[in-house]
Amino acid sequence: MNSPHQNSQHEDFLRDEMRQALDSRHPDRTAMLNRIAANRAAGPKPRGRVARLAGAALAVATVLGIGGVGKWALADSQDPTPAAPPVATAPATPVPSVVATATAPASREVTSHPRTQAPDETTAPTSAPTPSASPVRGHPGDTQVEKGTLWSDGSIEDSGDSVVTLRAGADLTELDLTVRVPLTPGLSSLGVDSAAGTVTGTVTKQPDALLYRFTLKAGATLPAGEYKFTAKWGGGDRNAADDTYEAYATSVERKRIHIYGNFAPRD
Amino acid sequence: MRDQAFHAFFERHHRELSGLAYLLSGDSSAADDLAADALTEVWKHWDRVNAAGDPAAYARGIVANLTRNWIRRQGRARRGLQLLGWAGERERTPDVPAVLDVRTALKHLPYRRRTCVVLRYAFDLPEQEVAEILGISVGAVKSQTSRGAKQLADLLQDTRLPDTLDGWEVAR
Repeated sequence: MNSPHQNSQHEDFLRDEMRQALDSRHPDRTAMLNRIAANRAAGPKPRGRVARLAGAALAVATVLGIGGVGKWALADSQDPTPAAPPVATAPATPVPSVVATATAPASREVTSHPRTQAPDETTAPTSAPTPSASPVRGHPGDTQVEKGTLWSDGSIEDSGDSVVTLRAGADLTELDLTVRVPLTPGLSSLGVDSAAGTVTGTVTKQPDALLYRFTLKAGATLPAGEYKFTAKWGGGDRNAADDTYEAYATSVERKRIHIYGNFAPRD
Repeated sequence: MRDQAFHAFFERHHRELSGLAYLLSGDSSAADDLAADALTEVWKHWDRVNAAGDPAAYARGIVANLTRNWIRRQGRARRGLQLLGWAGERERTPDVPAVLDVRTALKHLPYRRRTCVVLRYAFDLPEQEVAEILGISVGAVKSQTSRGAKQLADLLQDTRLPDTLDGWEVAR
């Protein structure tokens, strides 16, 4: 009954039918990317009990040493956004309550939020940068590129720009990203490039580094998705090995997120 | 640069993987989720998968598995509703509606048969690769595909085939 000829008729017919069904449908690329980002954020972290205990100990140490942050916040107490609390201990309380008791020495490096100046456009970058230049976290071996629903990556473009890619699995209601480019001879800023209109970028020159800061406007929401923030610089050959970035964010579920990383190639 | 390689992989294959999940599940929005979940698995095991050869084949296999699990869950949920007397409209429609589109018709095929037909015809994969993806022999792929194609064609035939093929009247 089934002659080869009839079979090939079947086959062409089925092929056409299925191709048509496929062609008439368009997958939602963005939704897929978002889901992958969310999956990755939710994925189990391969951390043992030892690491958790160490983390708890670190959290305690951080709370005790929170004065380091207080110093920053104090230098910038009119900043409308609450200073980001350190690491995972992150209470929802704004830091100023801590500031009153802040007495830790300025050399403290603990969480060192590079809070330099109000990010808004009204403030010209003339106000004195904060004293001790505490580096942005994220040195090789000390990174946390993914936390909660937020994933990040730092890369150096061929043009020489430093690009931080953020992928948010959930909307962000606050974002404060700082890229730190240590000064090398001849280094100069060529400005910033923000992927989102609601995120403003500023550059500050510190004694030892250029700080590129990207801040989500107060009251604005950055929808879930992928964004690139570019810190442009020029100045001949330089090694980006010491460049770092650090971001504080609040997701729409009111979760505080703290990530930091560098621009070294990843395996 | 694992992330860059994965991104390139995503751009190359996300349409295809979502399409595969779509034809297998018959559900457009679930298909994107299933394909994205499969892609996450690919990302998690990227180094190993890449070293082993063809990440795309690995991804197709995961899509097939995830979709089968999803269909089972849907079945359980629907049976649960039926037991409670909350079966939806879907249950009142006749088992085989008069006009079938290929997506609906595919649902009538047993899952393995359906997968063989889709991978062979919609994606033109060689029998050998289908066999590896499904973990069955090439002979099994051949027989499943041929049975599936016949069944699918029969389901679609009444409404889709012309009245004559090469001058022969099509039996109804």
